[in-house]
Amino acid sequence: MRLGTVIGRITLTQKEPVYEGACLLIVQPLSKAQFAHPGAINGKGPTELPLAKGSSLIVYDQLGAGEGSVIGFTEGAEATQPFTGPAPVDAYAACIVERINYEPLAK
Amino acid sequence: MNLARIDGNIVTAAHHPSMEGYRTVICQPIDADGNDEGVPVLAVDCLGAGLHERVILSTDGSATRELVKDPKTPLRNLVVGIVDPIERAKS
Repeated sequence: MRLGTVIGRITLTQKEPVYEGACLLIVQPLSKAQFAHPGAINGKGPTELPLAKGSSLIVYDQLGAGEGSVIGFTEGAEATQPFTGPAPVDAYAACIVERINYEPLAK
Repeated sequence: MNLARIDGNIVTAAHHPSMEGYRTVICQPIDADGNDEGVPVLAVDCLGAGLHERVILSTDGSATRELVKDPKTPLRNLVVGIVDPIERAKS
């Protein structure tokens, strides 16, 4: 599972039945620096650090994460486990994060 | 299985039902000398690993599904052991 910030939402007109009633989020994975400053949490608005480099991804969400929230998402085979039968889902939102307690080891 | 260091934990506001009652820790993948490798990942910990302890991280989804007793869990990473001081062959 990785952490990422929700930066947008997607709605579909034509969709696979598995996407009925769910939300698709655009998620930017957190960089290491953002673990220590994930300002998006507790309604403090978007993170104070610039978004991480690298590509964002689309995450299937049933929890109702809003823009600016930090979520934990799973990728790969485990993303399809919550569904009955095969599902065309690559990334699944497993939790909405309320607080990150992060203390990297000081060198 | 990978070597990692516990760098914290998270508290969730909402989560998949299978995560209820399990501790989710932030694991920093490290090399044998303890240097950081890449971005931290999240894992389920049922061993009670402490802050900055070295652990072995498994990415076996089926083992995690068995542990949380829910075949529908989206979890994969699991702390499977807490590491004693590492012994290395001298090169």
